[in-house]
Amino acid sequence: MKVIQILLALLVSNSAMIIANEPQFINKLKSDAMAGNATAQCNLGVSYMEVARSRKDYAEAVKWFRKSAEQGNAQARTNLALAHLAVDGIKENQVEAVRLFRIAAEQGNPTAQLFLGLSYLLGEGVPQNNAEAVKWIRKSAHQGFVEAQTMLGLSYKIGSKKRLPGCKMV
Amino acid sequence: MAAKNDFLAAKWFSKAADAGNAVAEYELGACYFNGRGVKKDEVEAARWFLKSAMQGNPDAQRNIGTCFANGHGVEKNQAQAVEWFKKAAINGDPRGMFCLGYHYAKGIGVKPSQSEAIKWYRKAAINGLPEAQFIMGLRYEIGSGIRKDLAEAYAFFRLAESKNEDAKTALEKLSKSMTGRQVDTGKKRFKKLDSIINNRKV
Repeated sequence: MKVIQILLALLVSNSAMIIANEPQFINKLKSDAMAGNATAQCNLGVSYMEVARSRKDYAEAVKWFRKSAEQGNAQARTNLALAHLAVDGIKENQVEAVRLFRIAAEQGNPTAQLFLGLSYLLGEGVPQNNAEAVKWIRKSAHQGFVEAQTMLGLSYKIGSKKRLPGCKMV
Repeated sequence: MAAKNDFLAAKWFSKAADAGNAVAEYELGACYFNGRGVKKDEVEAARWFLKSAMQGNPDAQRNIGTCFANGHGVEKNQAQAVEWFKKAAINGDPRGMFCLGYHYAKGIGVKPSQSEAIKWYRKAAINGLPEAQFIMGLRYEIGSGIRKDLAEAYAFFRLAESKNEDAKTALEKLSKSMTGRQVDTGKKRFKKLDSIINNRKV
């Protein structure tokens, strides 16, 4: 189970749906984003993710996530971190992703909390730490984030001595 | 991770399953099936396996297949069992492949077909399932549904040897009846199969 890829797919399918349903939506989004609206900037980034994923070029999506993140938008920080992880195997990216996850997680973003937990669990971008992993996954689960609830269930099922099976970030 | 706690595991699976998460649905089904963290209830188990299976979870597809095959929590229905094993197998589940192979071999819930049985046993074996590797070894050893080939039998027994006692015993017995040249060929085929399996794992 490649959790990040599943969530990336989720992110993209939601955005694709919005765009498909409303052709004018993207233009409004662009003008709002350029006017400096943080939510619009974040959503515009999401709308570029589908293209980004097929071309393996996240520059345009990252540009808008970054603008929004600079204004303090937690979802944009989370998405920016995910985009960093989507670019395979670059260690500095993992560290940067964890930094962003942490800020957004502390802002209360449930996706960021889950991924910060997973980063600790796998020791990717941060030293491995089971206690911290569970702490963040639990926070996310308590907010009703379903993927986190499932992960938490798996962690209680398996217990502390073993690693979770098949769980790998990107 | 957290300290092992079956009750909490079931509690969180239940929350996520209620929200429609396919992995959680399967896990909750397994909790009910084994009475782990909840009271054992095969009907509930089958209900959650089915929900997850319908979302395409291969573990759940194999398990609901087993429920139908054995009448656990649902009325026994071998044709339904085969349908679910087929789905699990196509989704890459080695145990689902093995079950499907078995049903073809015995003609349970499906018209018997040795070629289909071998096809799925082989897939399961190549996907690393020791039981399937053992069965493939046996089939080659006696030439059942397939042309007899001791070197091939040797190779499949070797694959399963470390995880399957039957295969280990069978390999010892078989080796004694083979010529040195046959064993050499067997070793070569084993190496080839082993590298195919290891490449699949990556």
